[in-house]
Amino acid sequence: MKPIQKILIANRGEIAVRVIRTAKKMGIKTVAVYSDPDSQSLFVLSADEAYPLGGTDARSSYLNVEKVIEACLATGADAVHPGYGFLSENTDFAKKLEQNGIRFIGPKSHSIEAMGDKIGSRILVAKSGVPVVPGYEGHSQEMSVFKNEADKIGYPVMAKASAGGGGKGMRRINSPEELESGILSAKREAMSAFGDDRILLEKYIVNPRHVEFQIFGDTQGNIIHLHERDCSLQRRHQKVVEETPAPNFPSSLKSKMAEAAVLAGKAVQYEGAGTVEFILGESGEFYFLEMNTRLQVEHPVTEMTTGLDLVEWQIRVCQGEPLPILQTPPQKGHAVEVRIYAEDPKEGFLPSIGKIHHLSFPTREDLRIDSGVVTGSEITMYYDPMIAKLIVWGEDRETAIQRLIECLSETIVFGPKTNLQFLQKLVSTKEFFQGKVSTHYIADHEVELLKENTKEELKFALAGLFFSSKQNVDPWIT
Amino acid sequence: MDFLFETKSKPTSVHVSGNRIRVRLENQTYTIDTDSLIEGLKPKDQNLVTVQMKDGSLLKFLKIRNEIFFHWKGESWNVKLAERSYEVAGQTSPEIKSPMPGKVVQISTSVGSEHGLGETLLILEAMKMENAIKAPYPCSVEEIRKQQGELVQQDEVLLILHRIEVEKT
Repeated sequence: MKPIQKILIANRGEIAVRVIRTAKKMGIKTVAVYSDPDSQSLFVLSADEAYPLGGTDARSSYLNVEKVIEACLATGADAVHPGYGFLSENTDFAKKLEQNGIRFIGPKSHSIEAMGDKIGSRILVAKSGVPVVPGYEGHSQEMSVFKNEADKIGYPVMAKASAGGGGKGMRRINSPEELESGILSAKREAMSAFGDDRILLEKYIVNPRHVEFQIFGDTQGNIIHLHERDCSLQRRHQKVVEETPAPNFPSSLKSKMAEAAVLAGKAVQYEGAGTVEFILGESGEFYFLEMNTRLQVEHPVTEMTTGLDLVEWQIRVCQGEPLPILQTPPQKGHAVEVRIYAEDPKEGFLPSIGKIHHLSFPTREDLRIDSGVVTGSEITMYYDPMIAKLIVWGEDRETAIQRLIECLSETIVFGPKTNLQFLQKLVSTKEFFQGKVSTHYIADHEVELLKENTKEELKFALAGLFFSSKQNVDPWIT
Repeated sequence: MDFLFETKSKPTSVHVSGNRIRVRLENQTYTIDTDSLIEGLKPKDQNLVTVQMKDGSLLKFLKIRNEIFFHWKGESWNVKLAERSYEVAGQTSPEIKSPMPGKVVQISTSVGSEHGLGETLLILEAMKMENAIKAPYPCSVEEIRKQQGELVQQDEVLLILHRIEVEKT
């Protein structure tokens, strides 16, 4: 197969910057596509070429299949990297690229199709012997059917969008009284996020951990796993902290889950980077949740502990090359990732938009920053308000966490409100240090996690002092 | 020198005189001696003014128009200089404004309904996530300005509330 010459990145922000970095290293040209609000963004300036898609919101730009294909043809790109989100799991897009002779850096469309549907994927992997959560995935969407099925499964149950992802369209339903409103709310969110309001029900696992396995397949039929990631710390089903290796994770359990992950990949003849997500119960029982047929936000922790470049592997597999290694490589040390968002924890974590007046991170060897913004960038209402991912490595878990706390306290974002202080509190808790957290931890401890450190009066005193100093009254010098 | 800063509820006044700062917050007054707090200025770091504090920590700040952003001991915050007239403004607004641009997906109340603190009044969808707008105090609903499905901008008034005073026994 001919080597890829020019990659168009059908995405924006930090992941676009990330893909450009690897493509440059491999001597491959890059094309950025952008919407109107993103015309001056870092990823647009970093690429070799940039092509305007027009439009402001995602639907009229990054999600518009015709416009993206038109950009590929106009710029002569012979491959597309979709990043994550947007068109990364859109089979229609993958097929259209194929029809135009453009390679999709990702799995074959049949794998995306098989795993993109939560209902279909559950049935498929269960057939190959992978355990799945007890639930209802039938075709009927009648409220009376949901009621019967929920009674059979036993409360609490989880309503989930069939086409879901990123925690959208999910509702915990505790009792028969909550069923109808919970399902209607999940359906509304699902329709708005995915244009598909089908819902499935699953047994709600109490105090679960979320452990996932990075897998990789090539066109020769090889599939290996690249260890696990623990993504238990979540807020409203959105991951907040991710790490590898998973803490307090017996090696016997790890090998069982890894085997199941590879089986799930084989069930769809998987090619490229994928992630098999599991829910892990308190007594070691685990169930298949879903498989993400793309690179994931948290892939850097795997890269930090294996020394691999997963985007490079994706590109090589897409070119028809075999996996560079056919056995799981050893892991070195421990890596933790946190996602810094422009959001206001005190206002229910509502996105906080506006200009970033100042952005700076500490510089050190054991720290990796994946960011799509710089000082002067705008956080707009149109897209995900992520500022950066901060990934820290340590020889062991304690060292990595200690370094992460230091790095967070030295990170400065002036402008929009951020979750920085919330993250510092979270990774400083005794429970996190001991690796004793479940996916409910944040919700259960939100009040303590949102407490302020500095006394309010001291903040105002400092403000008064510095305002007066700006008017040539310099009280601490003179 | 006197300053007035914006806060969520009431403005806070700060008086600076020599090395003493007096802060009036709510009904209490705090006095801080700057000599015990600040060591001196350090060279600028990436455009941020850097102050060496007595306890060894560094305080960094940036001033943009009437707003100052601070970073100290791992924490960031900002303050805005307020207009003097804010001092006499009402304590709790009856207007519930949209905290950000979005779409009203559900109205969970009706005109005349009474609600306790924290009860959901309306659900606003922003960034494809649903956000509950809750009662900030015990109230009855006087007016609903928006309809289900309507798009709203930041700070647009969604509801007008009437505060229910708790009866003193």
